[in-house]
Amino acid sequence: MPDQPLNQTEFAANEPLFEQRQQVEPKPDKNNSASTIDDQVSPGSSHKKSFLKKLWPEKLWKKMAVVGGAVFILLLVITLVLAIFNRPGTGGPILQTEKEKIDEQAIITPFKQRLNEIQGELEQSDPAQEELPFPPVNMEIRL
Amino acid sequence: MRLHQLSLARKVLITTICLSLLLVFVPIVNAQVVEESDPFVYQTEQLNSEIRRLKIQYRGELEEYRNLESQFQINQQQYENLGTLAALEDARVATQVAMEARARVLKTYLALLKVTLLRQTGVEVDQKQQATVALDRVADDLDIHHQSFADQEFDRVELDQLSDEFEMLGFKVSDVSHRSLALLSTAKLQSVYDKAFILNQDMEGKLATMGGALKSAQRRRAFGETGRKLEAILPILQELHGDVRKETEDGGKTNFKGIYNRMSDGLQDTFSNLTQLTTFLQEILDG
Repeated sequence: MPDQPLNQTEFAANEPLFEQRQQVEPKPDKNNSASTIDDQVSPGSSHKKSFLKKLWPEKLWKKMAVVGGAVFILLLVITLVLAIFNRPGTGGPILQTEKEKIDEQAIITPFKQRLNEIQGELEQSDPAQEELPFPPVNMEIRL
Repeated sequence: MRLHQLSLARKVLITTICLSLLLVFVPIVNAQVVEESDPFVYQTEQLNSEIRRLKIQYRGELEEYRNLESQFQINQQQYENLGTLAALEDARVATQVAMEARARVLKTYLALLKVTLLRQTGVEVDQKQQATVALDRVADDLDIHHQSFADQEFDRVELDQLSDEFEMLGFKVSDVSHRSLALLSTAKLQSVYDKAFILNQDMEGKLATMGGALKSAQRRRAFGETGRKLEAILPILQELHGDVRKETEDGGKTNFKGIYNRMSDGLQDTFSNLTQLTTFLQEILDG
């Protein structure tokens, strides 16, 4: 209980806030049976809706929604697939598998042997290390 | 007992033994057939054997010449100091002996150059033929000179005449030798270049598209670099070949020793580029 004494005037003034509001239902229009709340808000919109309902029944709308969704998903999948396979410059996996590494090594080994032979031959071809220099003989032996 | 009277088991046993003997002895007989060898490989092996023999002979003769030439210097100095007939006689003998040793060394050296040139790949056929003919000709002249005083005794005046004869001959020996050295040096590098070129092609054909996408792209770039390096080496080698060919066509009137010395920069450039190329190829194979 509040300490302050109740103000009956203020309490009476706030009475409407504490009363339950009774919903007021719209009175049906006797002239137009299709009229709805929308008509009361914007006259003529229910007429449009009834026309659309005749043109595209509700079941057809549902079917169209399903088909449209399926077509959209299909197009998305096709686009992704084309994007993956038409990626430029790759055409294959980025990393090697273990089997590919072993196969590659079998091909590289003979090349290494050939390169070793070439490097050995190159060492012997060093122009600074003449294999057969002209003999260091005195060309003017004279008494 | 006749054959048709033997039991079946004995017939089978005899047949088996005969077949076994046949299977054992026929391969042994066939293994004695000598396989025909490749004539090129046989010739190369012969040349290698000849080179080994000549190198040993050359080293021995050069060592002997060094000792005799030192003795000649000592005796000549002694004659100049003493001026006696005995000193003159010792100097005369030392001079003749040194000249003979020098002729032997030069003849062996020319033979060694000729065989080395014949074995070397990468030399144009006509160049090789001209060089070997020139080596043979000067070796014959040297032999004639050597035979003119071998096993004979000459006095001081005759020895001076021999020294004058040798002056022109010595120049020809030096010229022909340096021409062969120029051909050999260029041919060695040409041979390495040819093998490296083929190896690069083979490697590119096999490895450029192998491996994952990343490695494949990296290798393609690497082979681009090796290709550019090979293209850079080729004109240098062609210029070296041109230098030798041009001087040969001029009738050999110029001094090949000077030409060979001038070729050293081109030879060194080629060698450096080939070294870098082999390093690149090694990196590709190791990567």
